[in-house]
Amino acid sequence: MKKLVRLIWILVLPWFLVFCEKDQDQTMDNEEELITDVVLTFSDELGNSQAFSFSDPDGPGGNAPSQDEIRLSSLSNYELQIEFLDASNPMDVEDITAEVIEESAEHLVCFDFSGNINSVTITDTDENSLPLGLEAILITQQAGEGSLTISLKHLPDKTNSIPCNTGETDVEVTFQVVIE
Amino acid sequence: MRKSVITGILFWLWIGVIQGQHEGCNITVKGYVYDTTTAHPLDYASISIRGTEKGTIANEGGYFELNAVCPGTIQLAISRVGFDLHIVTIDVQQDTTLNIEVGHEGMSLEAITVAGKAAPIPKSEVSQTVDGIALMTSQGINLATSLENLPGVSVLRTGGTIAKPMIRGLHSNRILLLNNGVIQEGQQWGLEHAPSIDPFTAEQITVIKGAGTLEYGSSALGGIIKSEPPALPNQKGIGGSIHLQGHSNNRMGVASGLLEGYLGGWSKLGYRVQGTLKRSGNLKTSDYYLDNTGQSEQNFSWSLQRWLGKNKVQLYYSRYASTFGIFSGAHIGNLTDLKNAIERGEPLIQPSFSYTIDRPQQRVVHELFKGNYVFEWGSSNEIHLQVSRQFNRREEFDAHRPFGILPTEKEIGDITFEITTHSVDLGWKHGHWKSFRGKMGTQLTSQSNTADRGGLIPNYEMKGVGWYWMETWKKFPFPLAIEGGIRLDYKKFEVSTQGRDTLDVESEFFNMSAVVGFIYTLPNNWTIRANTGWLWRPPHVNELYSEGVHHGSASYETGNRDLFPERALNSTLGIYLPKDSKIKGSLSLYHNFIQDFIYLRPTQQPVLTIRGAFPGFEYLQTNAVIQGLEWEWVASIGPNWAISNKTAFLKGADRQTGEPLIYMPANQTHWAIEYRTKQKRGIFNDLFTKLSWEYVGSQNRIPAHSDYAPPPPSYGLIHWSAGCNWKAGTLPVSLTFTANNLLNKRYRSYLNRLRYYSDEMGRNLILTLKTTF
Repeated sequence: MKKLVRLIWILVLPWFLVFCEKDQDQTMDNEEELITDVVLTFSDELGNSQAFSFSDPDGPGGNAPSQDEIRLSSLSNYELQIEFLDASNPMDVEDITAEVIEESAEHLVCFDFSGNINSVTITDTDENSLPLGLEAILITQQAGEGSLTISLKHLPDKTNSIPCNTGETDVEVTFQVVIE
Repeated sequence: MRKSVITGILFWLWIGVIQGQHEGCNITVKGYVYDTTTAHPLDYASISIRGTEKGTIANEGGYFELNAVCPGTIQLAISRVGFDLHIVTIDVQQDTTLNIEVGHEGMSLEAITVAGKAAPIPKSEVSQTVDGIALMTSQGINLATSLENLPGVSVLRTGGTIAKPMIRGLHSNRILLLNNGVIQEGQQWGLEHAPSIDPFTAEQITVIKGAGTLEYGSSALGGIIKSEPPALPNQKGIGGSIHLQGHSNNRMGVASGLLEGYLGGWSKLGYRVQGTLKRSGNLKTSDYYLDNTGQSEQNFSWSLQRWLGKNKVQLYYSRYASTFGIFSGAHIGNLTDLKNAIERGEPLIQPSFSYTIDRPQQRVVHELFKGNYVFEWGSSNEIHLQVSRQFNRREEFDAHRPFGILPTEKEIGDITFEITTHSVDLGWKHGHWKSFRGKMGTQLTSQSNTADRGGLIPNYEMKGVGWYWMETWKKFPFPLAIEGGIRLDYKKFEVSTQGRDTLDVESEFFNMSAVVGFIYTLPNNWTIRANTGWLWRPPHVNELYSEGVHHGSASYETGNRDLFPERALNSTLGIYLPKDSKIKGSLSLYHNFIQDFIYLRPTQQPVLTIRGAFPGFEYLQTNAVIQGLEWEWVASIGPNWAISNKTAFLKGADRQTGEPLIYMPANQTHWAIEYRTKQKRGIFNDLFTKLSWEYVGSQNRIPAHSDYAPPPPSYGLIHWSAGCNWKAGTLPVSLTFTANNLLNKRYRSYLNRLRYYSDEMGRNLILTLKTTF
């Protein structure tokens, strides 16, 4: 009897020591949240607004992204608003801009331009009163062409001399601009 | 899983039924002792039965006889000056004749213990082993670092903590890793995926370079790494060891403990419990700390063995869990970020020391559970059956937590892979049959991988079947041994979904591989070993189907569904000096031709994404050649001093374009001078001190336009170590002190994927303490 108890003990004990991790996902969940769309809204002094977007609903790879050409009037001041969206599921478009605002100190929108754009000036600030870049004023020059690059930086060093060369890039899109 | 549980229980029960019979102590054990390398009989070796007073000395013809041996499992210890202590465990029930081959003392100055069975089969493969002090001092770091000092082995790093071994320029899927007899199956394809093995489970780690054996698979075009635990005790009693290590650079503490014993009597049970804890903080280069480069690791293993006469049953379980911080300065979003980082030269964030491991990070869990049954009879005949289950989970966390997820759910990995592998391994070994010895066996493998969040790698199921047969011919005293083997493999991948897409495709591969080799002993006792293998490797899932951005390397990778298997003709020639001479050493030459070598080639057009443009890379095939020369030697000067050198040259070329291959290790050489004394100095024994100089050349052979920054310049490092043994009461303690990069030199290594962002680790002082009880 004693032998039997010992045998059972020896047989049973090892199985408690095997943790046996298992595949956790019984449902095949491959969803990944990402930014698929960048929407730029330009409002002129008369209150007219136009929206232009960069859209890649299937994410990197697959179908090539579609992109609008920005058309603006010469020698004008525009209020520029930037929105980031996750439109990978057309039935449920999510606004990522709100999350950027929530973590405003960790984000910075940078503007790079060339051609007949005179200037882009960030007008909004984060929780530490440092630039954020979701809102800006853009001033155009005479009629002609140019380009505008919008990038969203994560964890930039906003006190650096060139803050836009720091941090990790979450978004970087370049628009062609026609000034009429 | 349930199947392996039932099989395990059945073995356990069955073994309980077969009990050894006890008779009087009247058995005679006799036989010959041979030298492994020369195959000549060894005179005057001493043979004793461990745990008893019984022993004898072999005569000049190598013959020995032990009378009045009690039946049961005995351990024969064979020792002789200039040779390793050799232990043979046999079960004796009747008069037994043995042929025992004994190896020379190890090449490296640390004693190599060849734990094993009677008469190992001579091998034409080129292999090297790390154990003793060399293993003890590096065990706390990681597996790859333990092997780094072997000529022909390099380490591919991602930062300071993630390291994977590279044999003769090949790595990842082209290397097989055997963890306690089971082929390690994880996410080994990635350059930044380190092997999930606790080096403290090993007593010795062996590297087989080139085509050596077909027993474990054919895809090891580079070689095989075997991590082997010590044999379980079968002498009554309880024992163990404690191993402590402290590092100055990243303030790493490592503690590993082991407890083992044998319950004699009725149970005949040998057992071992082992565990390791490791914690480190930010690494420091010669000038600054690297942000978020800590690591934390918790490992645990146990094993049980019942040994009844000719039957042996073993159960083994191990769990590895590690969290690696990824250097935050290297986490980039796109090519612009990479350019900014390279231009800066130094990381932007240079924090102070911290143990905190934040995002970005990797978390890896690897579990292995195996049951093993061996039936032995006669002289070296054996049948074995092994059933194993492995589970590997890998989670990668980006610097930026995913959008659309509440901060409370922060713990979800941005990418998660889970891979489960079951395998069954059945083998048969036969002892001498008309000068032939050999083995045959079959392996069945079933694997399933699921990827959560992220479609870089698809979900797949893999099934594999392999069959091998190897024979060795050796007739004493003829100085030549010949070996040959063949292997057949079948592999099938069923790919279901990738990211949001359903693929539902199958790929099947079937092929044959073969190896031939010989060992020839010259009259002056030099040995020549040569072998050639025709190997093949089917493309892996990452090469066939990957699709996505590698954030760490800012590249967009595209798989290629039309890839063929790679075929390699791998030849090695090795010359070994006799190990009882003043200068010991070996030299090997190799030539590895790989037809349809799978590699990543930059695409013409960058891939445009919302994160900016990424350089595109696609998997293509070419014909490649990797050839090289490597040597090592140790020269003794007087009784205490020794000088040694290890050198490796390697050249890899793309045969179609004539360009060099990317990521090949640079030429390197390692000199050392060592003082060692067996004399007692005060309370200290076995004092040694060693000064070494490691020189790594600059890798000038790189393909044009393949890299973001030129390869770093050559560098030389000085390392120093010293150690001794003493007795604290009755406890033997061994203590070593190592200073790596003693001069705190600033350098970068071509084989570190984070070399664009920061320097390598600066000076590191390591104190190791080990005690056995």
